[in-house]
Amino acid sequence: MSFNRQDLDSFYRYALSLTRKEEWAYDLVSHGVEKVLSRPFVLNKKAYAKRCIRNKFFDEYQRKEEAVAFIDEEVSLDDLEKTAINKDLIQKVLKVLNPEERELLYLWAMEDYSLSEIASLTKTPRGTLSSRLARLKKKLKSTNWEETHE
Amino acid sequence: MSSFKNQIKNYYQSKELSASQLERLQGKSSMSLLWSAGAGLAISCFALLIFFSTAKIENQIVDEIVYNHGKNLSVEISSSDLIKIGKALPKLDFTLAQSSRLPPGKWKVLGARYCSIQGKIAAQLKLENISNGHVYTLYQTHLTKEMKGIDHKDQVSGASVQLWTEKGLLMGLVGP
Repeated sequence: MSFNRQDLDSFYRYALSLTRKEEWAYDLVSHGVEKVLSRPFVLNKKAYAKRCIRNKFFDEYQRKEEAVAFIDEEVSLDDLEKTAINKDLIQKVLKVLNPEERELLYLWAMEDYSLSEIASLTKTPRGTLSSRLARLKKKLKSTNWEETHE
Repeated sequence: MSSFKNQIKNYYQSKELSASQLERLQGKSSMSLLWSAGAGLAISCFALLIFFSTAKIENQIVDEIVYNHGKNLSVEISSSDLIKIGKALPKLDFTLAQSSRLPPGKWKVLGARYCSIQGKIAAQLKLENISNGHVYTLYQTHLTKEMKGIDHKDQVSGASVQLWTEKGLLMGLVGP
């Protein structure tokens, strides 16, 4: 079984959303591909590869304890739809976000998942994702990069 | 202005693996394919070897028990009780077993004698099929590793033959 270019690039982009570092992202993809090859009877190989990439990333990622303020605000992905950022600033935006926030954006923008689907995929409670979205919006606002459509 | 979603999308779509990175990753798959093919071939050859070894020994046993059945030698002990027969044939190094394929309601044991199969001591029992009155010969002997998995039906020299394994024994039934 071999993955085509499209699949491998998809894995790479996902890994990049987590790591923001190209070499690290490539290493994660390499790990994911090897894991799939060692399990020839896995049915959904693409999903399995991505799970392996994610698990490996969070194993390696040194999580800094952020003082996370409680955000009592219901935010949906639709709210993000209304957000617009200067395209030249996207890279800077992604830099200030943590891996979970980048992953959330990736799964929403690239894979078109709903909040419930992302919650199921990442085994994260929906409430946690909602808070994460709210924090994400706050970060975008605080950096004055956000321009909203009214 | 493009939506935030499209901006994120465009950003990630601009990222891709280099040609050398792609080659290395796809090379892993090819190597794995080669290894799998090699392993598959080795396993298939081994399986064929086992198959032909088993087939050869099956045919040998079939020929042997059909030949012995044809000699129609008389029993050394007449009894329908397997335990009694077992006691009367003390050289047997196994316990005679009631086969599930030959239930007592349909088959009657008439008696038994010593014989051998592939040079190993065996029991030759005479059985009567109650429904048609025909007499069959049932052989029982120790199961060796070459005989494991045998389950065979055949017609040889006008006789019907069945070979199977049950309760740790090789069983063979020869009849009309």
